[in-house]
Amino acid sequence: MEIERSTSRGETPSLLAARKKDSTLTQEAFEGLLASLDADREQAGLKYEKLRRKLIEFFEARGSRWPTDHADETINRVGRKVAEGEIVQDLNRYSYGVARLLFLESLRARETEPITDDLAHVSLTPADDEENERLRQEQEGRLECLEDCLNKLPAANRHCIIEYYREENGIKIEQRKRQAEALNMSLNALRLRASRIRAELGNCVNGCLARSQATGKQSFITD
Amino acid sequence: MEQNHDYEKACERYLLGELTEQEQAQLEEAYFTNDARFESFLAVKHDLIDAYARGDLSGVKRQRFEQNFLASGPRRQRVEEAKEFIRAVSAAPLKESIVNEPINSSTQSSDVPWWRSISNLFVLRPLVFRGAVAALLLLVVAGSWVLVRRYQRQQADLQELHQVALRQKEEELKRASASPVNENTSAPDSNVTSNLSDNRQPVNSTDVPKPGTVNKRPRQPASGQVASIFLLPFSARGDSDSHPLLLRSETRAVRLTLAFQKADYSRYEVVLRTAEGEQVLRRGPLSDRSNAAGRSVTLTLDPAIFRRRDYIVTLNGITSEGKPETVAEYYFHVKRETPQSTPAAVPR
Repeated sequence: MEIERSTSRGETPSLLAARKKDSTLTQEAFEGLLASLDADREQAGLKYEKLRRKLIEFFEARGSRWPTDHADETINRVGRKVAEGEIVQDLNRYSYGVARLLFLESLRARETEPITDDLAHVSLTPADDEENERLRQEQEGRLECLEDCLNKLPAANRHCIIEYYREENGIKIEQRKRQAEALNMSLNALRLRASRIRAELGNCVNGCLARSQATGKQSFITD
Repeated sequence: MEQNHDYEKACERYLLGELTEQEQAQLEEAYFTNDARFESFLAVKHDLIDAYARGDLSGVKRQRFEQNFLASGPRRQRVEEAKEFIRAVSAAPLKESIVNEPINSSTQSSDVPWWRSISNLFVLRPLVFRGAVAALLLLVVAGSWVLVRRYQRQQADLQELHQVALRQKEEELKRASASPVNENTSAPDSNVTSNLSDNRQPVNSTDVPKPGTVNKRPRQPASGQVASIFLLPFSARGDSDSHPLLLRSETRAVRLTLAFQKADYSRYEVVLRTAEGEQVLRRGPLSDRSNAAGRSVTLTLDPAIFRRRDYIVTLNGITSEGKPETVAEYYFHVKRETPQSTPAAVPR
């Protein structure tokens, strides 16, 4: 029996090749996809980001090992369909359908992969000193970006997010209820607000990292 | 309202892997086609990760979370990020002047000049707002006094801290000159040696944080950001004292060194449990190191995994067949300290 060697990402060469084959989208097709999301390019960009985020969440929830890659592949397939002239009424719904098919494909592909212990990917395995040092420096970079981004938030948002997430003595849910009361809003509204601010922070941190780390490909609080 | 609650419950069950395939598909379609639903979903997810990272999930929910949510690498990374986020946010100072600021105040303050906002107060609702402004002025005066007092206290604390650090440094130098070997090697019979030396404040006066920058992290981690504890096997203990691991808000890593005398394994694993038996983490394979005192395994952990409670660490040797065999057990308890420079509670 011939066993394919896995790549560093755990993919067999045939899977990798299949993934690469499907991973292209012409500039024209991409523009067409954006146009079908919204006539206004800026709005289209925002909608594109949101759709991608949804796809990543979907693939993460379904246990995909490479949710980002699968999300991008879904978008590529949708983009190609749009470029081929397919009329899509609701691009989000359509993308969901494509994502489900892709997920099923990936499940079938996974069945043919050599069995690997998924726990081997767990970052709990201790690294050597050099690796630890690198990880520590990466973490430092992320935390510095986060600190800067926190400081750039409007005062009310900054206060809200710190109050919402900070480590304190006592039961967190009770503290959040009090925070919601103080802000004269429901707990649910506060939760949404905190989530939005956190997403904003995530974008800021990613931008900061992209600027400060030309070499590393890190992301932080991407939701 | 009730519908929202049901949806959020469904989101939580979805994230914990409790929905049927059909229910999953319904929920996914809902968040794909409705942005508000998607935002709610993200908020539920954030809260769930947050609760887990804080150790607030208990029993079945925690188990489901670990089995389902943490089943994929990307999601484990989300939890690590959440822990980082909580630590960073907890270390960030709150500005008391904006406590209880209403939700729309940020947009107002960014659009309208402050002097116009104040004059508008009097134009719109004179009596109520005059009273409010008077109260605000009183608050500002009182607040200033509190700040001055706090600054004076901080100065005194810093001075004291500096002196303590100097004294510790002197003691360290004395010990070093008396015994060039690791200090723990001189006490092989004391079963557990708690060592919080890395958690001390910097010694040089230039390293002592200035009042305005107490929460600003330096580019390189100060020694105070690593809390170390050196443990000897619990089984040989004569007394039952639990040894403390002190975690400060600035603590960014916990280094556990587990010493043991003799074992013939090339690989080890460590299992951390609460004293109640709940497993916190399992880490391995690990290598040991040997010195004059014996052998030890060292691992660095995220401080966010620790709550204020007792912990038992089991060191297992991994046999050539890959089976774990217990080498030693260790016992310690965690204390957390809130920094004085960060307001512990928000006045309401």
